[in-house]
Amino acid sequence: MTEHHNEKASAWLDGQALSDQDLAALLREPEQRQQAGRYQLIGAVLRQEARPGMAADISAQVARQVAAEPALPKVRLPWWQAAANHRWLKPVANVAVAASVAVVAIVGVNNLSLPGAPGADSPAANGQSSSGPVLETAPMGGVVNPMSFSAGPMGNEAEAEQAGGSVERRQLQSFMLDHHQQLQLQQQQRVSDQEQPETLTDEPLQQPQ
Amino acid sequence: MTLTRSLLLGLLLSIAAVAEAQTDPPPVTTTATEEGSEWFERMQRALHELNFAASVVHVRDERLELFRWMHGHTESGDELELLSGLNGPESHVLRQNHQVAYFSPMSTPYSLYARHITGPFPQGLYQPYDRLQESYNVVAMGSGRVLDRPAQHLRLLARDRSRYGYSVWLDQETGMLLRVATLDSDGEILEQTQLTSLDIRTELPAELQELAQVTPPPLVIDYRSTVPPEEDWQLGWVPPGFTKQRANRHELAITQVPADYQMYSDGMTSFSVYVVAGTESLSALQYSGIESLYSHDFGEYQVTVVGRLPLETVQRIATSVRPAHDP
Repeated sequence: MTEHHNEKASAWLDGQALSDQDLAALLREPEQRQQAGRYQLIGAVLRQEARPGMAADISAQVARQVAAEPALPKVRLPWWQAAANHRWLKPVANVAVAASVAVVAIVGVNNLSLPGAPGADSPAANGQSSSGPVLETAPMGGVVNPMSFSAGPMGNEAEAEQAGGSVERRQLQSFMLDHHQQLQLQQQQRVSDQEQPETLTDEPLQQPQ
Repeated sequence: MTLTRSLLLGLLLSIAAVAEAQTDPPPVTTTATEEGSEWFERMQRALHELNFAASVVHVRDERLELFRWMHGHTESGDELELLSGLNGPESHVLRQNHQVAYFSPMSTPYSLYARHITGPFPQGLYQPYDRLQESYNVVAMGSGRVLDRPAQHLRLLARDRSRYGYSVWLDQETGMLLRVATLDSDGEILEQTQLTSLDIRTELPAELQELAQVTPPPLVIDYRSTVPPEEDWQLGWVPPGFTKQRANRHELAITQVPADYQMYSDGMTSFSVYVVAGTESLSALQYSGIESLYSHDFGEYQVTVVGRLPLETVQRIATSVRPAHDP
């Protein structure tokens, strides 16, 4: 335990309030905890608060009491309820597929290069190196690709800017993400092509009232 | 199958795989492909019929992701499936029969009609076997051990070098998918997904029970796919087995640039073709990864091809695109 800690501990024992950080620091190490416990006992004795049987180290006792407590019920909402609290109970008619940048992960990279003879308008000729990091659309690692159907172009611009995308990166993301969106939409088309409409309308489960 | 026979077959097929990497399609025995198709179909039945709770790890490059994956049938006969990402922002994909809902903090939740979820497994594993036959030999390779279970190894050998191949391991007892790897034409692993725990149950996992009552978010209505392309773009070269799935004109994600669009699939993988008018605002791009992208200027247009294919393949496709009326 350092001098600083001792000072803090001493102030605490004198009944002064201690910040959470200081207390946490005091209690972090087992030996500090023990010493803090001893100091507390000394303080209590000095303040004439000590009772016979008061343990020098109460943490074990507290731990036993905590273990004996019944588990608190979880108050956190399940994710689907949390999602429902959002804004998705909107009329479906407004829905149009738009893009979201979703997650972009920086991959290292020499993968991006600018093919063809570098013309005057080629970024390579303008000194924009073909070796910087490339942003790759990688929602859930590129395996689950969320798409938003409410975000407008404005939001996307802002997000793309935030992602620090150069023109090339943004275009690359745009094609990659669009490809994934089309893949998902294609699944939908395939089901519609093959299923009878009445089968489809039966499929969605009913919401309980 | 006796041990000796499976060893011999394995040896034969390894030789075949090497031969294939060099020149011709492998001379695969009829028995091995028959067995392959049986196992493939058995896997698809298992994915729809079993009640299970599993953990899944997906590895691609240096990226590793964990998922919880559950599936089952309610007493009323509804099929439920849940895939939850365990690392990073909380995300879930919930399938209720043929309706799949995507929940992610990155986007507004939405639903799609689909037979399967988009997850860490190659989407082709959910396609009918017949769909793959033209481009892949599905071959039973013999047995092994995966997740401490006796497993059956299947190879989806690409019939040419223009696309990737796959290795699939299935549970001998149930046909359940245990592991899948995507391989380049030299046999290098590009991506793999494996179950790290599997609990096959007689009933629907309890955690899924309450999800039967979740109201799915709104369905995406894809009006854009009904707009026809402005020009009938022809692909001069497409790897054998790829067929056109989709053609429309829509605005690209993010940049909102309008493009004539086509999608092709060989059952296991797909590629997209974009043709954008005017080349001033666009750079020529090239990206090589498990998903590759190649774009180049064609007269007044920029042609871009994206897909889970080697770069050489998307490049060759992109450079073959011409308007139908081109002299």
